[in-house]
Amino acid sequence: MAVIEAHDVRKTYRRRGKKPKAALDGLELVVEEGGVHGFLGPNGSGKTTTLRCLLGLARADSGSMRLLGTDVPNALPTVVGDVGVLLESPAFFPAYTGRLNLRLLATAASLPEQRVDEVLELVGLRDAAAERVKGYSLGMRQRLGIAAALLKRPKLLVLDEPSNGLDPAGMKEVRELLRRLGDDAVTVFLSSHLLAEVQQICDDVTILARGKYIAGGRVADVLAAQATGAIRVGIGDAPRAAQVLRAAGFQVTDDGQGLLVDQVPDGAVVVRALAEQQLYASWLMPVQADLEQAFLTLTEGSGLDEGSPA
Amino acid sequence: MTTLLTPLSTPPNRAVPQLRSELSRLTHRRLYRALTLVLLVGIILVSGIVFLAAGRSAVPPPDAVAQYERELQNWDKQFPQYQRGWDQCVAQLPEGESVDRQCGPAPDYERDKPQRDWFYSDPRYDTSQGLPAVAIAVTMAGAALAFVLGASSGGAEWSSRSMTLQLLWEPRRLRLLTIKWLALALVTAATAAVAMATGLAMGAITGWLRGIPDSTLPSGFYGELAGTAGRGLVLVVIAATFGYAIAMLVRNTGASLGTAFVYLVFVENAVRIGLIRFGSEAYMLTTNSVAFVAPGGLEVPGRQYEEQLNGGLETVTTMVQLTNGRALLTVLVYLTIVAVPAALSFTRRDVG
Repeated sequence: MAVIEAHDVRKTYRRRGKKPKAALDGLELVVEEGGVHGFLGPNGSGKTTTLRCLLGLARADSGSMRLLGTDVPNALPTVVGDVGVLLESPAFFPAYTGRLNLRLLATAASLPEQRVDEVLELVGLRDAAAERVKGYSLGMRQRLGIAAALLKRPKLLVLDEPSNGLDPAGMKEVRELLRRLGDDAVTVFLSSHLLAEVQQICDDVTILARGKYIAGGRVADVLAAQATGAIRVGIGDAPRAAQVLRAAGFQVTDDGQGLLVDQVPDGAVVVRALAEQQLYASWLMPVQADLEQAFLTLTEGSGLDEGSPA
Repeated sequence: MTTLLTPLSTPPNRAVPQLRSELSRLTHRRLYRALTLVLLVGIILVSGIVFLAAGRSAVPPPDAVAQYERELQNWDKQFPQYQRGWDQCVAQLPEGESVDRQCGPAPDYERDKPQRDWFYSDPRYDTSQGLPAVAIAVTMAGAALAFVLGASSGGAEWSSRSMTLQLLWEPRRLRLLTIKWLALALVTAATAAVAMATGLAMGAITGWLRGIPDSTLPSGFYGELAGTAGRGLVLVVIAATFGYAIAMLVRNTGASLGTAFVYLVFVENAVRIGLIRFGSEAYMLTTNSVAFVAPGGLEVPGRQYEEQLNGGLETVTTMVQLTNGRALLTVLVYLTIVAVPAALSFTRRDVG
């Protein structure tokens, strides 16, 4: 079952004195239940606008959206109890303590007081719970935001840049937590700029640019689709091997870490070409495309003007 | 650990817990606590001053009595001179001129003589005047502070962006707004009721210890006082609603307070003065606020027109009686003008 669906969603921001800006231009998005789903796009590509439209904070001009199988925003109140959200920087009353901020949310949703302590413990904020939020570091606020998102024990967790402001140890903890949630029955929808983070913890990914879907699917499949087909060859007589491979029609460069052979349909072809000249490779390694490369390739030229809506 | 993360269906949002949460959010605000303290301390201080200023007995100060008697003796000497002056004026009056217009009314010894209460009155606390004055004073102070609290509550929710967070928990905006308003109304009404009770209790103690005896109170006094106090509480809630509604429109505390300042100091006075001929006073927000609370309402100048009187063209001002009911209706019209756009804007605009 799809937990998030968006079909042909359009949203244009009209700004006084400026040309209207299409933030979402026929967006298509499907997120299946379970696991961690990454949501990527350059600045201004419409990620946050998508989340705001899904969560009823902004009104889409047209299109249809569903959360947990329910039409939104019309029927959002019926599913909102199952959706935990951390949207951009967490918003709390700065003069209240972390615990009081969570307690107010818990009271409104008829959640037991004990749940507040559980989530504070979960995000490592138990000791700072009695301090005012205005004294929190950015990372602590982010943890509090994650705690608020987890308060309801949601089926769907929507997180916008959850690692923002966290130190490396905090980032690791959050990644582990998200992975654990994804392995449990929670679907995590993670919007992030940290491509390494997404590659590390996400099962699926959706990439958008200029308010449109441009690629998506299993992370491995997206990477495979963007793979260059290059391999790296370790060999004793590198200059002669390069000569042989060039003669066989390959593009070869020697960057000191072995020979980099581009656009190789099958590694066996390279091995055979070398062996025919009595040259034997000591190792052969396909060059992996990483998400950053894939992302840059896919979104090339889609960077938006300054001041574009998110 | 896993059990802590396992999804659990959350019950649908219910109004009572949401209201409880909002009440808690409001009463935990430091501004609310500070304003309540200021109001209560102010009431106690002013009551203390009134208590100390009230005389212990009905005997007036001897120097005031002596001055009154001196003025009476002077009046005996001055009255014949006034009478002669008036007679002279009438004798020299040009034909066709009005006596009243040129010389004024004929002098009257009893009517024009210095009155006792010009010099002294019963120095004891007058409960019949004092307690209604307390109710009106507490109402006005409470309404001003309630406006600040309302504006600040709305403004803080936008500046801290906690409104966005709350909408992620309760997406029904009108319902959220209603619950927030209800919480504000309950808190301001309860606080004003405590302040009103404190003020009236202090006044009653002053009346009991240093007041003119209760036997002089007009019949139905306490019923009318309860009405004044009750209308005062309603006005306090209306003031808080004004503050909150303006903050929901401009989404900022400072801008809300600034808007109110500009309206009260410049706009209302400009309209009052500029349209005085059309009886603008009867339609002013502040005038009607006072008229709503004041026992029996308020009589204010109405339309002006020119009329031939006493041989000349004179401007005649009609008087308009603003009853409590009419004044409330006018105040509610003003409130509607602000609150409806605020609610529409909140339910329809995108939230960042």
